Parts: sequence; C-alpha cells; structure tokens
Amino acid sequence: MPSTKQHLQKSASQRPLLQGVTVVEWGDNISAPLCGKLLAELGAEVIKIEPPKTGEFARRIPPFFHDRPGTNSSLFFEYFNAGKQGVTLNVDSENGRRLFLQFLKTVDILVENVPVKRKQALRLDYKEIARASPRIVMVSLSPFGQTGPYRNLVADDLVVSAMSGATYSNPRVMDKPGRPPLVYPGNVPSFLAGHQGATAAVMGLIRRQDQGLGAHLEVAENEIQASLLHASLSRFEHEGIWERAGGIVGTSSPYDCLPCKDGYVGIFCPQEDHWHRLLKVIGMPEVSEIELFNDGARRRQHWPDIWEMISPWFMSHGKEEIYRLCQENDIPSGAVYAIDETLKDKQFLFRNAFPEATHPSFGSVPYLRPPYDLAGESWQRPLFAPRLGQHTNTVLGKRLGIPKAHLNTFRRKGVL
Amino acid sequence: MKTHPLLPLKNVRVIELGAAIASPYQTSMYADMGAEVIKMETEKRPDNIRYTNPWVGEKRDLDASYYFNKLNRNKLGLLLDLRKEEAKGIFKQIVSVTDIVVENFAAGTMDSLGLGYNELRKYRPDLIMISLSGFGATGPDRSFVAYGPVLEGVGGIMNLNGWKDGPPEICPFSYTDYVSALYASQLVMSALYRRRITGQGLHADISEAQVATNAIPATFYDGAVNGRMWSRNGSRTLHHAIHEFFPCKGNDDWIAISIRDEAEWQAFCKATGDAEWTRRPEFATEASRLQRQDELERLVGQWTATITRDEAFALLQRHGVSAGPMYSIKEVTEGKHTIARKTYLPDPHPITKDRRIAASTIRLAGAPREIFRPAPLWGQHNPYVSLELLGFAPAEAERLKASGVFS
Repeated sequence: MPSTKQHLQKSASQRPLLQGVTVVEWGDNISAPLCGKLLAELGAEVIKIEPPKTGEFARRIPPFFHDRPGTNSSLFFEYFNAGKQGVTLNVDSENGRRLFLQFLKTVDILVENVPVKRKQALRLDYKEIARASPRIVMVSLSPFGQTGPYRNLVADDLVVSAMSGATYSNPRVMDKPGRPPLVYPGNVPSFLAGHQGATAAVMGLIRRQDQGLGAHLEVAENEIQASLLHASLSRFEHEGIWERAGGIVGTSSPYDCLPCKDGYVGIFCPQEDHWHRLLKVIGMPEVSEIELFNDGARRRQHWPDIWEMISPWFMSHGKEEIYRLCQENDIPSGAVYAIDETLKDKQFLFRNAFPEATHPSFGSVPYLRPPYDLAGESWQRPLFAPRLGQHTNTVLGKRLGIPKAHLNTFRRKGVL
Repeated sequence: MKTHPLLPLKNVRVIELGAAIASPYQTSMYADMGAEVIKMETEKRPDNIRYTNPWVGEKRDLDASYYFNKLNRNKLGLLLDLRKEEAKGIFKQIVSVTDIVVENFAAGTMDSLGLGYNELRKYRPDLIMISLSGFGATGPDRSFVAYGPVLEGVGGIMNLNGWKDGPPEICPFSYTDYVSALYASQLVMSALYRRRITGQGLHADISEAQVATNAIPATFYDGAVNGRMWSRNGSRTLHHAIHEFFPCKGNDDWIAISIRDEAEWQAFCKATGDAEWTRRPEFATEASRLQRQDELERLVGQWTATITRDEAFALLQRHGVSAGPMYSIKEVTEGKHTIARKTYLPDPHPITKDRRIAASTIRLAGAPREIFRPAPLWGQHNPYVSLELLGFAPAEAERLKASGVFS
C-alpha cells in the first residue's frame, strides 16, 4: 500500500496488462469462452481446447455469417472467442488426457466450465490437475457450482435464471396476473459468470505473485445472478413480501418506459425536481401545483390519471426528440433503441464503439470492441476467433516440443 | 486494517468515490477479497442508496438502509468534502498511500475539482484509476444523466425485454451497472498484476452504454452483419422451438424448459411417456417444430399442467432435459442448495443485523468468505483515516471536523 516512490513514470505503455500470461480454456458455450475472451482482450495468450472434428457447441449457435451455417461461420462463436488460439485435443482418450496434463504444466491459468461429473470421470478435477501443476490458477465456472445438491443439474441460462429468482420479478410490474415469468435477454447468468471469472482468474494470479500459491477459484452462475437481486431480496428480508413483480424498490415515479409517437422512451424521475422539470418540458408546469401528485408514491398510485393528462404530448413527439429534450433539462431519460438505431447513434459512433476490421474469411465486418478506453495505452488487441484446430500444430509443437511425426500419429488416432 | 493472510488483496488500498450500484458493487468485490476499501461521501451528497427503502425504523436514516448495507459490507467510511481546498490536500495525501481510485461521478467532475488522473499521479505515480460513467468521458452525450435503465434503452437491451404485444420492460436488477463493475474489476486486477512487474499505473474510462451493447453480442452481429433486427418475444429465442415457461398444476407455478438439440428433444419425448402429440410428423425436425412453435408450446403447456412443478422438474431432469422451476426469492434464499452452499450470510450490521446478505460469489478454496465487518456507519472511519492513516494530532482532526472539511 505505501507508494513505491519511484520516479514519475509515463503512463503510455506498449505492454499489454496481461502480457506473458498464458491461459488454457476448456469448455463450451458462454461462461468459460467469455472469460477467455476477456483475458485475451487484456493481453493474455489464450489457448482454447476443443474436441476434434465437431469443435465446441457454440460453433453451431446462430447467427451465422450471412445465414450460412458452418464450423467457422458462427458470429455468436466469433464474439465469445475473439483473440484466441485454437487447439483440438480429445481429452477423453488416455493419450489426450496425458497431453493435456503435460500442457497445463506450461501455463498460468486454466478456465473451465466442464460439468463436475465429467471432470471427475476424466480424473481432471482440481485435485488431479493441481497434483501435476501445483502453482496453476484454476477457475471453475458452472450453472450451480462445484458443490451442493444441484451441482449435476442440466441447465442452460433460461433454467438458471428461473431457479435463481431472476425471472419471477421480471417484469417489475405485474399488470396482468397469470402472465408467465420472463427471462431477461442476453444469457445473463453465464455472461455474469464469465465476467466475474475473468476477475477471479487475475485475483488468483495476483496472490500467486505475492505468495507463490496456486489457487482454485469458482463462480456459480445461479449464485452471481441471485446475488444481484437486491430489490426483491430487500423486500423479502425486510417486509416478508415475495410476490411476483418484486423488482421495484423505492417509490420513484415515473420510472418507466412510456410509449410515444414512434416507439418508447424511458423516463426516470428518482427525485422530485426531475418531475417538476419534466412538467416544464411538456409545457404543463401547472400540474406541479396538484398536491395529489406531489410525491413518487402518490404518482405511482394515480398514474392512470397523470398519464391521461401527459400522454397527448408523448404521442405527438418522437423518442429521439423526447430523449434529447429531457437530457438537456437534466431529466434522466433514454430512447429505447433497436440495435440498428444504436448502430447509428452519434455518441457510439464518436467513441468508435463498432469499428470495422477485415476478417480472414468474412471480409470487412463491424465488431464490438471492449467498452473502455485506456489512456495512453497503445497496445493492440487480437480480434478474431480461431478456425477449428487452427493452432494445434504450432501450439503443441512449440510449447510441448512434440515432433511433427508424433502430432500426425496423434491426429490419425483421433487425439488431435 | 487487517484482513485474512490468504486473501489476494490483503495489501491493497482502494478509495471509492461512488454512489448507487456500479462502483459500490465493484469495490465490494475487492473488500470481500481482503482489500481495505475507503468509501468517501459528503454531507451534501450521501450515496443515494442510503436513501433507498426499505430501511429499518419509521423514517429515513442514513445507517438503516438494508440495500446500502448489503452493497457496502467489508468497507470503511470516510466523510470528506472535496469542494473545500483543504479537503483536496487531504485527499491527495490519502491517494499517495492508495493503490486504486474508483469513481463514477458525471464525466469530467474529477478534472473540474482539480483531482483528475494526471494531477493525482503526481502524488501516486503508479495509481490505478477507474472512471466509469454512463456514456464515457468523451463524445457529444458525455454529460447526459445516466441511470442504469437509460443505458439499457440506448444500448439496445431494453428493446428485447418483454412480450411481443407489450412494451419494453426495465431490467429488475440493473444489469448494466453490474456488468460495468465487472469490466472495471478485470481492468483493476490486470493493472495490479502489471504494476507489480513494471511499476506502471492505469487510467480507464468505461462507457456503460457500450457495456450494454456488449451484453447482447448475438443481437449486435445479426443486425450489423446480417441485417436482421431482433425484437421482444417473451422468453423465446430465434432458434429454439422450446425455450419458455410452462404452467404447472398449482397456483402460479411455472417450469422453464429449454430444448437445444435433437437429443434433448428425444429425451423430452421420453419424459412425456412418448405422448402421441410428440410423435406428430409436423414436429419431426427442429425446423418444423420452430415453424409450429405456437401449437407446440400449447401442447407442452397442456402436458405440464397435468403435473406439479416439482414433478415436472424431477421427471425432466431425470431424462437429461434442461428444465427447472421458477423460484421466488423466498424459495431461492431458503432452498436446500442455497443453504448447503451458504450463499447468504447474516448481516453483522448493528441496525440491519441478521438479514441475509449474498456473500462473495467468487469462492477461493482455502480462504475465508466472510463479512469481516458491516457496512460503515455514517462517517465511522474518519478517526481511523485521520489519526492512524494520516497521523494527524487529535486536535487537528477535531478542527477539520468542526470546519466542515470532514463532513
């Protein structure tokens, strides 16, 4: 904690944050691959292990480039695997397993989301791996964790969302009783686990720098998803209420998506002055005087009456106009954009959020760059996902010193 | 202040200048892993979550918000009014012995206070600093007011949350704030790693709006590359015939079922006892099932309605189908899995005590996963910072308090 008192360093750097760190990623779909992708964006060398022939599951998930399915054309796969090297290795064979363990001795981090049962059956759980590589930092991601009665359940993001309490409070307001629960878009549980897994991996690395210890870290998708449900947990813990639509904490109003001339616009008035400014923007400052509407809880209660008064203004203005008018008057608001509108938004374009790059097989395509800018850091991030088995020879040949002839034998036997 | 010797961040000090969720959640991860996190607030602008109900007692109390006390466990609290010149000097003194500064003020605020990264680096050359704002520090909309749902809207997620015939719905758990915090924590940890090798710091500017778009990559690529626009469609996806909630026997009981490939469809058919309707020729392939999705969902719903939620759960899992009940927060917190894994720990806070808090979701084998100390009471650690950390004489600390610097 005390300052190192070194001379003032220039912050400009050519050196990626995780330069020199090698990561092996073993798994499929979202959580472990996303974790690997994020570490690659931070400058680590990430090597992805896939089963020979088929590759991992996500290679078959749409959307595909120009809707043409193929092992190397999933755009879903492209995002979650950008910047990695790809190796095929059949860990189910005894030769493959031995090769894998030998390989792990040469790396810093192993990120995996392999089912608990399968790791045990293959004798590739933390205990076995740490026996061969005691200083390795292993990060295990899974739907329900490495322990507990649900550890072996079959569960994708829909099911994890349902069982972690994230869907019973979506939408936040239950206006039509009997409606089914709703899953939030974007594969939230595995996305969160992949993100927190990247943080956990580097925490393990830091401890190894300090104390020389290896580490086993885990993040369970259901647990991180449940840990974010502050609103519904607050109501339950405090008031004993757990009915559907427990997603509202506080009494702000409006705090909603409102319809307008050409779509929807979010209007959020957490403070009273936001409400009064909104009325001025609408041209109805006199409504400020109505005592019945002078706090958030009352406005929520009387919302149908309020909406009747203010809706003509909303229905005669477009979302872009309302968004900008409100923001100019310091009222938290946001247009609800479809993705093509986000793609054209001036703020995103100013920050070059969607740069173009020339992909080796897709040609020039826009991609989603990381959402941060690092002052004075001039290093480049790798951009594209590996073709199936693209780096098997170079990685195994170089790193393990396996002669080409042996690699060919392994390939014939289906190990690679 | 001491934490546990096996925790990775035991020698790291963090200043949090943040409010609401993104920064407090971010630094709670550091605090859980042993860092000393000093949360800074002022009388004029307490963290607004302190004002978020429910709170213990009849009226608002800065120390009684359960929500605040969950998000800020394991941290220390300092009152310092950065608009006062003398406070700025004290802040720089603290920065000189601090590793990480985390802030989520409106873009440009730190610079206008004279406390931007380049200034702070004079006092801590290897400082790691995260500036997190709604739209980032640059660009025409950088000063827009940005609560989480604003960014969900502009970033393109909110448009996808809801039913075909209904409005977009606000996320019930501020998703964008949390993912932004996770981007920040990856950067901070990686910068700490590099700093130990090269002595360099880092300043990162994170745009929550861009985080929102990064959370829906498939939607982005299908739109930007293939020109296909995704819209709201309940819990369905574009490519699964069965990916929805189905009603079960009972009151508001639902089972989520997701069938991802042919093998899972066959397993599902078996689970229904090879019901006649599952063998209809029009449901023979994934493509044909997707074409008749409404009809198929209706039939699945008829079948699930004949059994209870827990029967459906056990039966489908036994056949290897990805299926599970919709649990309420009560069922989550009191469920056997949650209890077995000690997901929640009791809050040791003197006012919100014994309520459940989700403890660290990063589990490091062999190291403690604990609430070492409750969230700080209002200004609780001013004495620690002034007397112990900065070595002020008690009289000086009193003077600073009286003159409103420590407020």
